Amino acid sequence: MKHLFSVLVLSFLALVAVEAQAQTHQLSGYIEDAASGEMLLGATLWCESVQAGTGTNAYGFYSIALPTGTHQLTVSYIGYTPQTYEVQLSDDLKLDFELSAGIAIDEAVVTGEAFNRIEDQVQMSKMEIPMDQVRRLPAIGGEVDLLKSLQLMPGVQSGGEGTSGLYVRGGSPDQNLIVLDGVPLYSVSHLFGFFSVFNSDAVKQMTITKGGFPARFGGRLSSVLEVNMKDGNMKEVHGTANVSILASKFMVEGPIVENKASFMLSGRRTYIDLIVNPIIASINKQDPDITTDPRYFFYDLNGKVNWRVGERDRVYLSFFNGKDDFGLASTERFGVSQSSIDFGLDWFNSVAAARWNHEWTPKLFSNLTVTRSEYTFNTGIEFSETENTASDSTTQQINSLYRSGIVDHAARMDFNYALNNAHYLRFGGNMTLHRFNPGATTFQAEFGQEFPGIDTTLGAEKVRSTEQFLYIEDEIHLSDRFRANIGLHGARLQVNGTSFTSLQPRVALNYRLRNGGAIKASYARMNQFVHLLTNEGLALPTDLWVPATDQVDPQSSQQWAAGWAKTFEGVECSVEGYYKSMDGLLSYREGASFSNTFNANWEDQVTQGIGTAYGFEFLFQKKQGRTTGWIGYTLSWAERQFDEINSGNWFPYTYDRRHDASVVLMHRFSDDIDFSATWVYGTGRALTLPESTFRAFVPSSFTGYTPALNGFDVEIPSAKNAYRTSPYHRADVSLTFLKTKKHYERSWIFSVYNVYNNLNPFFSLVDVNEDGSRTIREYGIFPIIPSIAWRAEF
Amino acid sequence: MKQLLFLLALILGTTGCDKLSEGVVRDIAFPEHDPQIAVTFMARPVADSLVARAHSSAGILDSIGSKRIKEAVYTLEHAAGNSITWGGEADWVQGLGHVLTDVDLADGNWTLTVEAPEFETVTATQVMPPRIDSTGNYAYAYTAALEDEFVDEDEFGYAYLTRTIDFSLTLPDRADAADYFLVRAQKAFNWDYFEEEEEAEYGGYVVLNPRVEDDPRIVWNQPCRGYLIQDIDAVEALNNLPFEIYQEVWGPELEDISVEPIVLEVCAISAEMAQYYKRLDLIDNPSGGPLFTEPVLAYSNVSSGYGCFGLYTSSALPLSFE
Repeated sequence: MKHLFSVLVLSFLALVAVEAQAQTHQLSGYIEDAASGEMLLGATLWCESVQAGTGTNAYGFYSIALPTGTHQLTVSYIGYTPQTYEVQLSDDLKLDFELSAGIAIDEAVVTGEAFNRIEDQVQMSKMEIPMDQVRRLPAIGGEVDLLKSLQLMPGVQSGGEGTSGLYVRGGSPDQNLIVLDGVPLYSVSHLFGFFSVFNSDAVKQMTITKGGFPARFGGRLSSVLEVNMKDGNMKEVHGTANVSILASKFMVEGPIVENKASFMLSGRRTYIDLIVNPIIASINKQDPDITTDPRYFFYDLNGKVNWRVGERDRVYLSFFNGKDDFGLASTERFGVSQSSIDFGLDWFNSVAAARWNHEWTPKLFSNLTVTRSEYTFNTGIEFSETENTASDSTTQQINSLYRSGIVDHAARMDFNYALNNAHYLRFGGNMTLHRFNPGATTFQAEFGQEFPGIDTTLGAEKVRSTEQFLYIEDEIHLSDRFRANIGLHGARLQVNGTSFTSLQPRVALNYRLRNGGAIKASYARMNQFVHLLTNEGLALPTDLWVPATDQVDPQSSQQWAAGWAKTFEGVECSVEGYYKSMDGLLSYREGASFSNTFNANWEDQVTQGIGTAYGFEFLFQKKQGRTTGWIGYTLSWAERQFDEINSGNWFPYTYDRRHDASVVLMHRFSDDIDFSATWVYGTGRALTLPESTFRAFVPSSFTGYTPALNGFDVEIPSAKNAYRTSPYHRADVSLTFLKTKKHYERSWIFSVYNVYNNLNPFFSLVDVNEDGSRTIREYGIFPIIPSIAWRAEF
Repeated sequence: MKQLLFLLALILGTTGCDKLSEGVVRDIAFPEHDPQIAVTFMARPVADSLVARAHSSAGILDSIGSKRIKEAVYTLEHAAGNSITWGGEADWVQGLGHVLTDVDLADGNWTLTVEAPEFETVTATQVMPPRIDSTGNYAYAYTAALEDEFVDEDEFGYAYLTRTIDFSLTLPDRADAADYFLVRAQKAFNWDYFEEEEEAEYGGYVVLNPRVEDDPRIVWNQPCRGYLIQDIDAVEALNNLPFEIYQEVWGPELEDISVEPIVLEVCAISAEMAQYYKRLDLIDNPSGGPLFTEPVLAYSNVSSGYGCFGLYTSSALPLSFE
């Protein structure tokens, strides 16, 4: 290890010395969408004459050192027409490039794209689905979902039928860092996990990293999902409107000051409640003494303002709000008395971010981000009984409200420094102030005028913690064939007078083979200071975010990965193997649940353990052309061990999935007709089932007379996760008819979910049959579901 | 084209609705259950009689469930060599089980063996806990003070009495061993009991509550209807544990009900017995309902079987406030 380090340092110094001797100039600027002025993230610039290239950063900025002279530069980006420019360089030059979208059908192969091929990327285990492909995928209820599209990639699994939870390489859902414009989100689900909070019309790009994490990422063990909202069109007002059977949404963007400032606003709301309410009202009319009033809706709202303050500065302001509201109220009248019960459950996400980009020199670029993120979950029940007589009115009332949540305030500074073409440095730091509310119950009761009322609050106290990290990473071009990304991430958490510190080395290596392929390897140590307390069986908004404390250790992991990648005739092929060990995993103790946290300290309800995950992932992906799509396959194992669960024995993780396969096909028949189909297969979920029973007894008395025994039956569960549900498989198809009208382009999208009507397991129950025998049955709730959606784009 | 799409949607929709109405994916196959003996024998050193039960375990799909084994024969053997054998159909008392009479067990190690035809023989070993009493080497101490008393008589002369007592209990705490206790009211509040007795001429119940919420040493145990108390570590002694006792009695004569004592049972129990009932409580009363609670494996100290052989010592603690 020491030797390797010395070689790296010497190589670094040598390259700096060589670079200093050559007469080079810095070419820098932005690469943008020609029509909208939208920054293109990850676009590439390739200089054929010096066989060197670079990519844009997360803000569309690039910087490359080139010698004096005239150069042919090719600028490219997935889904855009590559452009070749001739640039005369005699001094440092700032130059912005523009690319035009929409020529993806032509399978143009240009030299410049070579730099963007999978085998050239140092970072491994990183995947991106272009947004235009996401929008073309079949969608349940016509509602396109970003996270569900990611579930079609190898190494990324869904939590269950129809749900949008992500389980990456044997990790838990809390081990995914999901950032929207740089702001971490704590809950990304609507409708109890069936939809994610991301409105696809408002999103510009999303990438997921499953391993080989660069040092700039930290705070989670299993993945980083970066979602970037559109910046807003700098040139013209444009928008989209979408109506499906579940929800409607819109997005509008345009210039505030042309080419100087822009805005983007989008919103979405479901209307299940608006459809159901009149039906419920008519049912209620039939018996006025009993009324029932269910409600459910969710909405989300995204907004962004993008302002080019000057040649070197940009400011972005963005926000996101999303809320789910579920409730059920019921009132019954009996003569002079009336009783009512009102149950409610809501959860709310809110993030706001301000970012400032500054170009200090052609080589040095910085971004300052200041953010606020809030997630709250509330559930309450109100019960009242009123008795009205001619002379008196008495009301008894009991209210209970449970609240939990987390609020973060954070500031982050990132620097990108293009030292030379051999070294691209990234460094920076972050400070986050967390305020956890791990659950508090307010209980109020009135028992009429004669008796005293109750007004009390139970539960855990709020916990404040401070999390900081510093990082540095260097993308090193060691030779024409050998590149590396080496970095160090140092993190610290202070909570309740306790502090935790961790140093996390990160290494990613890429060696180009003579046949054009590449061998990649990576190592990453990750640390996580927050936990999600959840029952494995269901992902619910009741899941509780809690910090590491003096009693609960942080989570940590080490992940080794190695792989091979090559592009054959426009088809990216990659094979990766990984091994991940995890420590400090958190689980409820046996017999505990979220309801224990209503009135007890959550730290007493949990236990910590370890886990391993390993497997192989295969991906064949075609990103361009009339026919696009991918085939993914994962062979994996995921196991866990807790001293206080399953008698201390190792057990399969709930989402241990031996085989996971997906096939995605998209074909554009013509400019007017678009077709897409997906097929997924997964090994059944591991689950614990009651296996046997026996009769247990307790003495009726422990002193005195002959103690009789009071008996009751006890169900004995199987070993933890000893059973499997049926394998999961399903195919979806979608057909889109586009038509260009005078002022807009409209689409009718017909999609069929579960096209061959295979009922997949959703839950299991012990059923008593007519003959008295018992059966444990798996039930599914999603048969074939056709849907239709209408979309307009102007 | 449009007609074709409509027809396709209709066919698919119809088949989908049909499948939704059933929703069954499959019946989960279980391996055949191999029945084992589930034994319960909780014994104290001296008693007129004690009851043992042996049942067969049953597979979850077995509609009949766990069945009693009348043929079970129990042998209780002391480490010194003396043993007691009882059981079989001859000792079976309907409504109780296998009754062992004139119990007099010495201190030390006891091994219980249960044999039954067609079942694997099971054994369990226990050490008799120290004999708890208000005096002696393993003594508890207490203070009790009447806080509040309320007497009421209805128009028919029927009397009601409620008392609130401040009760403080100190339990013995051995430095070199873990101590486990069960403390319960002999006539604890019980909905079933209450409903049965509501119409009776005399009735009443006692509620025992710890005054410190969430004291990890004192945990309510629903199957035992009492509190399992444990010395968590050597530092945290079980001194002056504060309780509130609430007594409610009723009857036709105030004089009669006012002398009704409160009887607490203070038991020193074995670690295995404590663990067994703790687990049973977690299984039988899942905090978040069966769907949301992490499954609990049953505890047993019986070799190749289920259930528990537990030893305890106990003392009745009467409190009177005439």
